[in-house]
Parts: sequence; structure tokens; C-alpha cells
Amino acid sequence: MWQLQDAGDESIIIYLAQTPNETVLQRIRLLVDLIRDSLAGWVTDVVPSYCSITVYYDVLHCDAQAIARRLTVLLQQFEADGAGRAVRDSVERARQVELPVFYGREVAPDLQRVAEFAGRTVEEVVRLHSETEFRVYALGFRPGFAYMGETPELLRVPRLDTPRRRVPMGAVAIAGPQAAVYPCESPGGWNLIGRCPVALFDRREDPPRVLLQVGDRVRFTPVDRATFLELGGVLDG
Amino acid sequence: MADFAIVEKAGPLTLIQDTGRRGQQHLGVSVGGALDTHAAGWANLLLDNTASAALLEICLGPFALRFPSATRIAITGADCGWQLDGEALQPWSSHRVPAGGLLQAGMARDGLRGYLAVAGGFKCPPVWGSRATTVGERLGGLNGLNGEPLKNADRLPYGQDSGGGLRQAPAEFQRRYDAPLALRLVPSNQYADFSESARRQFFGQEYKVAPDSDRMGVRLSGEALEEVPGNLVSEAVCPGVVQVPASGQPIVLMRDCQTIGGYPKLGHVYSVDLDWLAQARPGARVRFMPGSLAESQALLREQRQFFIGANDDR
Repeated sequence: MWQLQDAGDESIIIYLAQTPNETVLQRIRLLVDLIRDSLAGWVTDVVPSYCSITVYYDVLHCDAQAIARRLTVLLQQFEADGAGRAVRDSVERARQVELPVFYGREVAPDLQRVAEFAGRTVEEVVRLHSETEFRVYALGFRPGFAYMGETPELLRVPRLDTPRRRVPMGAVAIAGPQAAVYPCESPGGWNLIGRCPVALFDRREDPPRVLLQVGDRVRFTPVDRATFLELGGVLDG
Repeated sequence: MADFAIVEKAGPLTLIQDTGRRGQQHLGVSVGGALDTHAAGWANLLLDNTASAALLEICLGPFALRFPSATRIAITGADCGWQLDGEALQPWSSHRVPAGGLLQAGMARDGLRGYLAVAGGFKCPPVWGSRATTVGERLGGLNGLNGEPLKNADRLPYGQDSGGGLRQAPAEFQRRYDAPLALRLVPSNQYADFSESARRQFFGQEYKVAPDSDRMGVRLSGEALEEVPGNLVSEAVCPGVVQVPASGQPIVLMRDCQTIGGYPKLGHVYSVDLDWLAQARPGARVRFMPGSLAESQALLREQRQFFIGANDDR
């Protein structure tokens, strides 16, 4: 089921569930495309997150009632057209992305602490992290920053009490059940356990393109220092 | 060929802005753009620029810019005591600048952000349809991709002046920014999750703008709201949204805000009222009053139609 609510002067949010899961994620992915295609002249932005989709529009083109009516029709159609089947199909089609990660201490200032928290060795932490298949649930915080879940129970270290002023580009991070790779240098409070040499977001591209999209399946593959450098990884900073 | 205005004094935070960057929020790219859309809209209108022409947002000042060729400029927003070659300029007006003219602003005497537009707009390279600078994202700015505030000796490309008269905004549109604010709020999102007493507290008290406010959010300090609901599953947030972290002190999100967030939200402030909040200095007094989405949308529509007029390139 779903529920509509106004969320701003030019936005309306569609709630699709209380808690995120695989099916909700796929419904969101399909609906985002459907809304973009069907309401192209009305909407400026369609922003998915864990359990919701927020639709932004321009008050010069429509108002709250009009967009709510259009979305209601669209959602009813979506449900009636066997959304369940479409969702099952698309689960199988989800993109697989492999991200190389160098877990060396020089780029993993929090790895030791995470290991202590988990009561395991650093090697086991690396194994747990790289054997997990993560899903992208949302993009936000910074351009191309993908919120991924779920980090294995043992590794669910809370975020830092005091965020770092500067987290380098490519930092591989975990916090609670979430995981991410910092697409650019920024402040940040997550635990840093490695570094990824692959660019997640290139601001020189027009239109902008990001490597990770909502719904993607992501695996982290350990690489050694030499491979990391070969792939364009940067150690300092 | 474009001429280049030379920044002789950049000031603490002078940013190239326009009406913002839409269409990329799903990638985590914030809207950005001039915070006081009323003042920025008037600066462009006084020059018959398009509503989306790039202009400068000068936070506090001082600031100085030299124009190598003759043009027209317009100044609005915070009262920065603008001067042209040492002569005081009427605020909320357009003016002719001779070749070699030096335009100077002092410290803002009221409000926080002054706006300076030039005939034809500043011509820095746009990124994804906008020249707005969002410092946190390193987008926009002088070369489009550094996202930095202006620095001394920066060279700002500006267009040819197609010629036109000089004007002043009618008195009823000129603003001063020293009065306490009453912001209208549309209850939405998690409003119902806040307790009756927390809502009474929120509408009943006077807040002060906290010093760590910025273009991402205006932080308010007052008596902490009681029984703040817990964090939620992150969802999209936009400028105007009032979120309340566990501290019980509300934050009004501004145009450089993140695209998604997990704090519970009381609702959103009328877009037209954010223009006033954009000019509120630390310590400024702020109250909230309940409003309606119908009114909020009607006022925003009226404002946008007014500035877009017949001139816009959208």
C-alpha cells in the first residue's frame, strides 16, 4: 500500500512502507521510472529513499491537489498492472557492481577499532565486509553518496561522536547497519575501513552520472596496495 | 567578447548564485541558489535580466569590484552602503557604471546578504543548467567546478549591456531586515508524531537565530522541545523543512541543504518567508505561526510569476 503527503511548497512524498526491504526497494525503482515517464512535464525531481519517493514539481505548472490526483491514478494503475510480477522480474535484473577496496592500515584509520568492537581480527572484519552483498537504498549527503545496507551485525559500530572535518575521496565507511564510499572529500562521522580507487561521481560530466544507483547490488573486493595504485587510487590526503 | 570584472576585495563569503540547480536531487545534488529570492529577483528585474541570470550574493561584506567597460548594475538586499567611485548609491536601484568604475560595499548595516546583478548577468560556465555555487558540494563558482567563494583578483566574465534605463524598486518592495520574524509553517510530514505540548511549545515561544547557521540550515535556539520523536528512516528533505534533532532545537533547512535526512520534521516554512529568514543575523528573533499549503503555494506562484514575467529564458 501507499500513502501520499505534502512535504514542501513544491513537493509531495509517497510512503510505500514502514521499513525497507528488497520488495519495497524494487517497487520504488519501478515507480521512479514510471513517474518520470508519465509526469515529465510536471515534475522537476524524483527522489527515492529507503521507503519513500518524493516528487518535486513547479507551482507554475500544477498544485498540491493536481499532483496528488495524478499520482493516485498512477499508483492505482501500478498496483493493478501486477506490480508484484514486475517487481519479481526486476529483482533478477538488478545491476551488480564490484568495487575494489584496499583495506591497508594507512587508509583505514578505524579498522582496528572496528575489529575490537566486533571481537574479531582485522582479517575477519575484512572478510565479513567483503563477503556481504550490499544494496543501494538511497543517494544523498553529497553528490553520488550511496547509502548501502546492510552491514553484518558484528560490524555495526556506531558513528563517531565527533565527525572528522575531512574524510578523503574514496573512503570506504560503515556506521551502524549502513555502508558507503565517500564520492568526494567532505566532513564525515562514519568509521573508515578502507579506500576505493574507483570514481563514484565525476562532476565534469554533463548530464551528471553516478556509478551507484538505487537498487544496485554491491560487493567490495579486497585488492592489495599495488593493485589499488594501478587502478588510480590515491593514498595521501 | 566578454569583459572581466576584477574582484578587488572578495569579503568573507561572496558567491555566484542564480535560481538554483534542479533535476539532480536524486543524485544527492542540492538545489542551491540565492537565499533571498525576493532581493535577487529584484536585482535582475531592475536590469531586465532573465530571472535565472547569475548574480553575486555578498554575505556581510566588505566587497569591491572594478568594471573595465561601461555597464549597468543593480543592488538590492542587505544595506551594504554601496558606493561607486566614492559616491553613495541608492539601494534597491539600477545604476550606470563607467569604464574603470569601482563599486564598493561596506559591512551590511542590516540583514546579512546583499545582491549585485550586472546587465546581462555574470557569464561563468554553468554546471547542469545552473551557475549556483554550493560550497559543500564544490559545484558552481568561477570556473563551474571549484564551488569556491570569490577570491581577491578573481576575474568575473560579464555580458554586453544591451542598453536600458535605470530604475528603482517601488518603496513597498524595498525591504529592511531588522524586525523580528513571524514565519508561517505548513504542518506536514511527522507533525502528528510530535506531542501536543511540543507543538504548543514550538508555536508559543520566541527563538533566536544561532551563530552556527549557514546556507544549509538556520539553527534556532530556545527552550528545547519535549519528547522529540526518534529518528526515522531517511527520506527526502528540501529547503523550508523544519527538522528537530534530539536536542529539541529546530533547524530550518535552507537552499544548500542535503537532499535526504532522518530527523523528524514539523513541517515546512512558506517559501516566501524563507527570503526573510535568509537575512536574519545570529541573535535575530523568530516566531512560528501555523499556515496552510494553499496560501503558501499561492504566494510562491505569485512571486515566481512576478519575477519571470515576459523576460525569462525558461
